[in-house]
This record gives sequence, C-alpha cells and structure tokens, in this order.
Amino acid sequence: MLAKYVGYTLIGLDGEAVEVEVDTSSGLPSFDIVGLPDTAVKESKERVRSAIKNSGKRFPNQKLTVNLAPADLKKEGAGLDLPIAVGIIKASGQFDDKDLADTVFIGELSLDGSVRGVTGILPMLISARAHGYKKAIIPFANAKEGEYIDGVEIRTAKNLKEICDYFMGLGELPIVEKLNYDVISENIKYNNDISFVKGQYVARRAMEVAVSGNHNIILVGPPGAGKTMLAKCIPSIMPDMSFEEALETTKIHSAAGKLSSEEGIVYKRPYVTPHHTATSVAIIGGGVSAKPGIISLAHNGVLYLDEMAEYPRAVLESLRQPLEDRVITVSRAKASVKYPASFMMVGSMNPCPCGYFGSKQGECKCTAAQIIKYKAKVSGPLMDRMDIRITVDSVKYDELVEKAKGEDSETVRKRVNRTRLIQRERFLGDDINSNAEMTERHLSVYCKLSDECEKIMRTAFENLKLSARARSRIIKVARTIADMELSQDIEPNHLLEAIGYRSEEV
Amino acid sequence: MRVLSRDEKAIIFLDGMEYIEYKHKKAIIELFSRPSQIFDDNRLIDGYLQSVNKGEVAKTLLKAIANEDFVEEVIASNLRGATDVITLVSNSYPTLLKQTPTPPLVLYARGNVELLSKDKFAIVGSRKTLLQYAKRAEDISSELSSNGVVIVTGIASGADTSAIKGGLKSGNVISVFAGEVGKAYPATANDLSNKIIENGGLIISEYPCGSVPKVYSYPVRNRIIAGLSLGVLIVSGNLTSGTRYTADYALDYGREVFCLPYGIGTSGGEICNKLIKSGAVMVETATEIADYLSFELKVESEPAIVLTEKEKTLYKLIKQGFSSTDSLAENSNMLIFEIISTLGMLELKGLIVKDPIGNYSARK
Repeated sequence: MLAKYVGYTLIGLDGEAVEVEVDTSSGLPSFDIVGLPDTAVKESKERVRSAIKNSGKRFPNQKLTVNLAPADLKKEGAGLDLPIAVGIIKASGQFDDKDLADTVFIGELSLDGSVRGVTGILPMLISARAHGYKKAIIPFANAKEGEYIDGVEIRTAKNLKEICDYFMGLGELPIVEKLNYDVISENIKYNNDISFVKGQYVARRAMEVAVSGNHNIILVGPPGAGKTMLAKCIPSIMPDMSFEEALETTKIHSAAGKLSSEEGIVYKRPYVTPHHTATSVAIIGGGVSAKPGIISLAHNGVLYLDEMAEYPRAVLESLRQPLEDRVITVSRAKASVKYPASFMMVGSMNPCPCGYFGSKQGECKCTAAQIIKYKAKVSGPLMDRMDIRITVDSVKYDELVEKAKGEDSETVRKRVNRTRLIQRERFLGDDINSNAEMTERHLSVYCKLSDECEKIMRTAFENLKLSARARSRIIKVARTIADMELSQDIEPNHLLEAIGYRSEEV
Repeated sequence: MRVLSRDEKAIIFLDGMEYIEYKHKKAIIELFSRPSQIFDDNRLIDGYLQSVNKGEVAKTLLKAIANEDFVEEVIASNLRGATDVITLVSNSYPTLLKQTPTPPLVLYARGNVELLSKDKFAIVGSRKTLLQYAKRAEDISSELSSNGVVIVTGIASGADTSAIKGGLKSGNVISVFAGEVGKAYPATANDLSNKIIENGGLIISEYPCGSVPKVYSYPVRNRIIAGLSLGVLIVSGNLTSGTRYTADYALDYGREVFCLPYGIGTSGGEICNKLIKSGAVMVETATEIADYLSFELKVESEPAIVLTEKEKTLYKLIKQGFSSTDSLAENSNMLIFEIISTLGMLELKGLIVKDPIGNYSARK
C-alpha cells in the first residue's frame, strides 16, 4: 500500500517541500530510504522503527521503501522523521484514510516516540504557506515559531502517539495561538539605556546620527572611556523592527539554530559582538553546508567589533564586500547560498597600542612608529567605509555623579523612527532603505547642494584635504542630519556638522 | 652642481678617505696655506703622518693622491645626491659653525644653501614627544621661521618632525642628516625630506654619499645642529636621550639653551627639567625666545575674519584651552549639534585645527 505525505527540509534560508512516499510490498522484510538523503535522514530509519514500536503501533514486517521527492534535492536534518513515521503507519494500514494532502509534517523523533524540536521551522513554515499548504504539525518545542505565521493552521505534537490518536479522532492536537507582532514589539525592554551614559555629548549625538541614517561608526578612545557602554546602547535607540524585517532576521536565526525557544521571533534588533579571535568563516559564514555567519545573524541589527585593531586582517577585509552589497554569498562544494547581511557596523579601537594617545586621563608611552603600525592594522579601504568617526575620552568622577540625566533611549528612538520613516518614503522607488546605502546616483538626485553648501564643500575639500570618497560620505551624513531636523534640503549647518564627524587619517 | 675650485676638490677628496681620522684630515689641511697643495707636496703629508705613527696610512694616501682618475672618482661619488657643497674654505661656510672646535670639513647640501647665512635657531627633542609638546614645538618653529629665523633640526619623528612642519610654510628650515643627504633615515621620513626641498628648505650632512647613519653618527651630527645655531630649544627627552648631546654641545659652544618645562610626573621631559635646574632658560612661547635672542617678531594681528556670535564664543573658549567638544559643550550653553557645526565653520575659516584625536586648538 502507498502513503504520501509532505515534509520540509532547509536549503540555505528557505524551506523546500519534500514529498515522502512510503510503499509496503510483499517480500523479504527490509527498510530502504531513497532520494538523496544525508546521514541524519538515513539514520532516521532506526529512530522511526523504535518510535513506532514504542508508540503502541506495529512496525510492518514487509518490504518498505521510502522515497523522498524531488530526488535531486539534497535532504538534510532530522525534520523528516515525522512524515516518514506517519507514512509507514498509514502504509501499513494502521489508521483510517483521512485526507492529509494539505498537511505538512515537521519533526524529529526520539526512540520513545516523542517529537523533538528542529531548527529552521520558521523558514519552512513561511515556504509552506507560500506553497499553499493550509495545515502543519510541528514539534511542541517549536510552538513559538509558529505564532507569527498567518493563514496556516499549526498544531503541535509532543509525541507520535498523540498524532495517531488525532488522526483517528481519539484526541486533539493543540492549535498554536497566533500573536500580534505589534503588541510585542511595543513592549521591548532594553538592558542598556543611553541615559546611563554620562557626559559624552558628542558621542551621544554622533550615535543618534549614525543610527538615524544607518551609518557605520567608529569610536576611538582610551581604555575605560566608555566605548563599549556606548555601543551597547545602540540597539536601544535603533528604530523598531518591522514585521518583515523581524521575519527576515528570524529566518536566519532559525536556520542557524540560534533561535531561543522562548522567543519565536527576533523582535529586538540583533546586537552581535564576535570576539576578535573569531575566524573569517565564523564571521562570514561557511562550513561544509555553507551555514550563515555572524554578519548574517546581525542582519537588520548591529555588528559591533570591539578593539577592531585586534582582529586578523583577513577577517576585517572580508567584511568589505558585505558592507557594500549588504548580502553575502557563501559558496562551498555542497552549496552556494546567498545570505542577507545588512547590518550597521560599529567599531571601537584605541588610538595607539597603550591606549592613551591624546587622552587627558593617562599618558601615552608609544612611539610614532608604533602608533602608525597600530593604525595600519585597520586598512584604509575599511576605514573608508566608516561614515562617522568620533573620539571619546574617559569621564572624570565628578562628571559621573553630578551630571543631570540625559535623554533616555525611548525619546531618542522615537526621533530615529521618524527620521527613518522620512528615508523610507524618499527611497520608495529605489531598492534602498537608508541614507547610508545611497550610491552616487542617489546622491545626485536626493542630495543637491545649494551654492552656499557647495562653497563650504569646496573649501573643506581644499583646506582639509578630503578625498572624493570622504566627500560623498560627508554628504550622506549631512543628508541624515537634515532629515533629523526635518529639513527638505541640506543646509550649511548640516554639512558643517557632518564635516565634524569625518574620519581622519593621521 | 657648480664648478668646484681645486681647493674645494682637495678637501672633498680628503673627506672621502674614510681610513683617516678627522683630526688628521684637519691637520693635513692646516699644513698648507691652500688645501689644493696636498696634490702637489707629498713630503709634508708624509712627514706629518709619520710623526703621528701613521706610516701605513701615509703610503695608501699618497698612492691615492697620485692617481688622478681615482681622485676625480672619489669626489664625484661623494657628491652624488647633493645639489651643492660647502667646504671649510668656502666663503659661505657658516661662521658660527666654523668657530666650534670641530667644524665639519665638508657640508654636503641639498636645497637652498642661502639659508646657511641667515640667523639660525635649533629645535630638537626626542622621538617620544608628547602630543601637546610636539604641537608647541611646531607653533614655536612656525612663528620663528615665518619671521625669518631659520630652524635647524634633525629628521626623526617626534620633536624634529614638528620643528620641520612648523618651518615648512616659510621654507626657513634646515634638517641635518646623520647620513648622506640623498636618503632620509628612517625611510618613512622621505616624504618629509622631499617637502623640505619643495618648500625651499635645506638638508645638509657632513657625510658623503653612501654613508648610512650609525648609532654614533647621531651625537656627532648633533654638534652640527648646535654649532649652526644661536640657541637651542630642547623640546623633550629623558636623561638618556640623544638630545642631551645637543644641549651639551650648545653649552660647550656658548650657545643659549632653552627648555620647555615639564610637570611633576610627566615623563618624556626629564632632560628639560634637569637643564632648567642647571641654568637653561625656561620658555613656553616663541616670543620669549625672540626676546632673549633679539629676533624681531611681527605683532600678531587679530584675524580679520568676520565671526558670528556663536563662532566668537567658541573661538574664545578654544583660545582659553578648552579643546574637546565635550568640554566646549559644558562651558558654552550651546546645543551639541550647534557646537559641532560651528566648529566645522571655524575650521573652514582656518581659525582652528582639529588634531588626529579630535581635539581643537586655535591656529597660530
């Protein structure tokens, strides 16, 4: 007898439907899985056999063939255990014929018949919805991930027996309650608030400008100046994530198995801080099956590189292309996958090896040659991609205790949201979202400079010896400042402020 | 290269004989009324060298003198890379340097040799110079050099570089190398040395082409820096710094020694404080040096640039020494973005400069 069910496997970030066909026929008892299964899928034989037996069902003593179609698709992971097991039970005539053609089964089986959670449920469900499936049965452990998928009736199962009972009308499977994303995103609590930062007026302002226009920013200062503290506050002032952005980011996290079981969706902007010993594969992505790297986990969020000069050169240089293109294609023998990697890069570094060059609080003991060598660790082209560069110095004790509290993150975030909205409306026809992503073409359309501004720019270009790239960087930042002030055109004071944030080579 | 006189050729040739010590070279020149006579009279040289037990040297030297092609070759190779040359018998040989006990026989030069006849003042210090001291050195150098005083220094990073940078605008700067004039050492200073030439400055050295600076060439070089100058400003240096040689030479030659003062616990300037204790003149500005050495400085006029109220406020604060944007924010009652854009305007108007670590200071 033949049974046919639908399972899902993950290819890169997208779910792919897999038709699981099970056939029992007379002959010597055997169990074969065909259709390009990987090791985890092949091993499901043993899990399925024990799970069926331990769920009070009979494993057919017949010749069993399981075909996974399409045959040319490499199937990965243990998520196909469930459709295989259900198919076997059905094919051996152990439950009533019921139409399950529009139901998707995803889940890994344990030997005792319980259903375990798998990674990548969210992208699989998104694909299933797109492919027109109306019902899905997923592991109970992944219930959270189903909460945001509209239009699919998602039920969760703890074990195989429950599923059999459900189909025979002996029991029910709980349906996943749908949640409203907006309600959740409004109630986010952040651990760090920008009002905790004392003094550092320039840094706070620069931070707001950077976040408003999605500009990359680098903080330079002595140890203990509060660079890390400032960087940690960035997520709290970043604009709210739209549902689409959240889904995109969650897909990546789900595929990488980095989604926590309490949160079904990544509703806070990711803030990723790889240690400087991380390899370029860990950062960019890779491995045998081309897994997403840290920069993709930071998609729609912040990639914070603390002590940038300590990262290996190769790692830093590998960031150049994704910073420009906002996607990364990870190519390996088995697969070539395009992962989104649109992140705001925040870097911090000391001005010199001892850290105190130019600081009021300490004394620098480095020679000029040492400083030059240290700075050279971060290449010019990478520095060129940092739109804003500011220096921070440590705050004196008096300032720590006396200062009146500055604005809190929520106030700043509201402004940032407004500024981002302006940008989104402006770039409606273009495929970019923020000022930082503007190319020369966009600059010529959206950043026309008045005669007065042009004059300032010319003087700056000549007096401050700016490069052509620095010029467009300054204009981009000026555009953001103008947006912050709700100004249609870039005014001279916007341009001048942007000039103050320019990165400076020593 | 201009046509050299026979006297000059004689000295340059003798200078190229590395196996003869300086004192003997000098003695040989002084044997004759005209240096060119060394090509004519062997007996005197032989006699002198025999008398100081340098028989072997005498043989080699006399053989070399006899070979005219060799002599020309030595002269030509010595002069490679130099655009001019000044020998002990040249009229343009700097008087102050000539008065020292050990004036260099030859000064190989690249650039504008006319600077040698002007008033000169040395600014030296160690490679490890704190930023604010380096800046002060640059300011002093800039102010003196723009008033016609030629700044004499080395080529190392730190204080020397600041002194050169200060002098570049007017071109009144002489860098004394410890090796051949054609190549800066370290090589990273090549850019700077080219700039000196482009701006009408001068590079000199007592070493002919092919000489690489040795550890001991630096103290020896420092006697030229001190010897050329009316006074020496010591910017920085710890007690073992090579700068102390320059100060010592200056004292020996009777030149005035000036020092920047250092605070308690501020390292990098021990030599300055030590010299001040033993009688050096403590200075902080170019005016003080100028007063002491009777240089004439033009009176600094207030900038004729029109400033807005906000710009005036900030410019005043910066002149008072508030350098970081944060400190300006605390003392000015202005909003931070107003401050940043106003600073940008002041910078464009050329009134203030931003240093690599983001602090502002009034431009001199």
